[in-house]
Amino acid sequence: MDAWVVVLIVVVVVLFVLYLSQTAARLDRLHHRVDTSLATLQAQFMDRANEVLSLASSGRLDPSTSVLLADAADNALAQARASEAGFTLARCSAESALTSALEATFTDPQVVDELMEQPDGQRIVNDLTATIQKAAWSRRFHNDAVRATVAVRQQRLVRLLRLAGSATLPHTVELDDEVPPALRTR
Amino acid sequence: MKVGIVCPYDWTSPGGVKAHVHDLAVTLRRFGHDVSVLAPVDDPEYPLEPFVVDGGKPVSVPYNGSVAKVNFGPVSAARVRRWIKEGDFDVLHVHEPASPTLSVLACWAARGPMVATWHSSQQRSRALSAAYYLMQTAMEKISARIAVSEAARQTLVKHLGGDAVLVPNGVVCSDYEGATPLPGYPRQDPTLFFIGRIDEPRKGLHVLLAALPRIAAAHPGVEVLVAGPGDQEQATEDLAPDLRDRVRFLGLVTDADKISAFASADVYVAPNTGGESFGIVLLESMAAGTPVVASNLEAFASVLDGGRTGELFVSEDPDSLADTVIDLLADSQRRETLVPIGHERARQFDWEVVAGEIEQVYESVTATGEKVENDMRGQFVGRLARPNREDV
Repeated sequence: MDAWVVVLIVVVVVLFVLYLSQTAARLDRLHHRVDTSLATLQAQFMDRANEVLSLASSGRLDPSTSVLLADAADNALAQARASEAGFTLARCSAESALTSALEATFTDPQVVDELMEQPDGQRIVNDLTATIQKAAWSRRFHNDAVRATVAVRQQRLVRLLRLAGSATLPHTVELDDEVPPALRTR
Repeated sequence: MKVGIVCPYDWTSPGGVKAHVHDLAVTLRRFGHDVSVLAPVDDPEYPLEPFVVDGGKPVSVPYNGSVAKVNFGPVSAARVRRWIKEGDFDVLHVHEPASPTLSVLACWAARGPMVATWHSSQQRSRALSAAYYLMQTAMEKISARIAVSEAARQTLVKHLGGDAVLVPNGVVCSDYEGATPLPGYPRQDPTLFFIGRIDEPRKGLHVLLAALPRIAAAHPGVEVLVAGPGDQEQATEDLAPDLRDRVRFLGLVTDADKISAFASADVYVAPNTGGESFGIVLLESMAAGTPVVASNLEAFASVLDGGRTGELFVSEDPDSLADTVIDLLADSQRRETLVPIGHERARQFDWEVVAGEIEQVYESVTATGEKVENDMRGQFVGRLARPNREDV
């Protein structure tokens, strides 16, 4: 065989191996990003429910609103504890229900104005808004990480050579987490 | 929190992204964060702020249809790595990462909590498609993506897929509130203000000047203050000689003169015809208490809340501009109501508010307590290109 052909084959094989190891490293990084964003997501939604629960038990809102919010928040926390591994369907619907309860409470700007007028009210409203916003954002960031990971894992070579190893295929978290109208900044 | 921010463009010349990074850094420092900014430095005489680290002299190269000043190559990459190593950051925030700058080098070099902000709306560049694989591997390390406007968000979605959260540009309202007008202003007769490169068609000065004959007929004493660089004679050559004295050119102005010019005018006109991703200058005008008339570009309509906080006209239509300006100049009551509405609108975009939201994004990616480190995995190509690894 011509020596050049051998050299060519060696070069191609080396490049191919380099490409494979790069892709494996890339996947490793992506899986780590998904793990991190999922952990953050879990924590942020727990924070949101806890924040709502403490507002509901603070006596700053009228009794019926307080009960409505406390019930939704309590349910979300219970589902969070029950589904440690991730976002089960039940947890997603409990979180969406909490979002609906928040929307029902904070659509009328007057409710927010009255809260703001109470001592320390401004800080409480700001903290609540920030917590709700952060939960929504962390879901967006997590789903972004999932999409990027799935895109690489669906490549034929990655599937054929099992470059992802034993890592489970991540999936996006779908639920309603809109910031209620009266709490939006602009 | 220890925050490392990468500015992609020259720190020593004015620009939108540079101003954004500067104001963000200053506000975050006021919040109590430890901020370091890595930026290209073209003019070695420029007095760098204590929080700015010299990222090297940018090189002028043709890129994406024009000449761009960028940093690339092994020396820049080594500087980025050293800055990341010494910074020991909790979060790395890069700006405009999809261009050949320090930003993409930082994405390439780092791992850990990373945030990126997209500023511009741009056409898909050929270079980006060609280097798609390399760009994608750098971009996919970013844990949180921010777009400053809907247009910037759509650019990002089209080029890279995925999504971004919207955190707008900020304005330092206190700089504009209670500004002193230029000497001799406000005048008895109405004054309009325009700012932007006068020979850059997309800034739309020609649309405003085409509307001037009708505006001057309705308001004979009107004057147009024009701030910005460019050929002044050429800009007014189509105007009737008696209308040429209605235009007063200020040339390239300092920040202080810009603020005073806003305070000198009765109405600020933004006749831009495109290429605007946000519209920070509209907020500056509203913060200064000057009502805004702007073309109905998507970005402007969004800042003006669909016409609630300022007047919109049909873009590139001088008659529509003339109608809008003539009506607003004749209606002092409408102008007076626009002042507090505009001011409240500008306050929603104050850096205190905007930086607070960016802080929330940082908190969303740093919850696990990981640090930003140099990324040593899967970097064979990068390492081969860098024979002396003194920084590793």
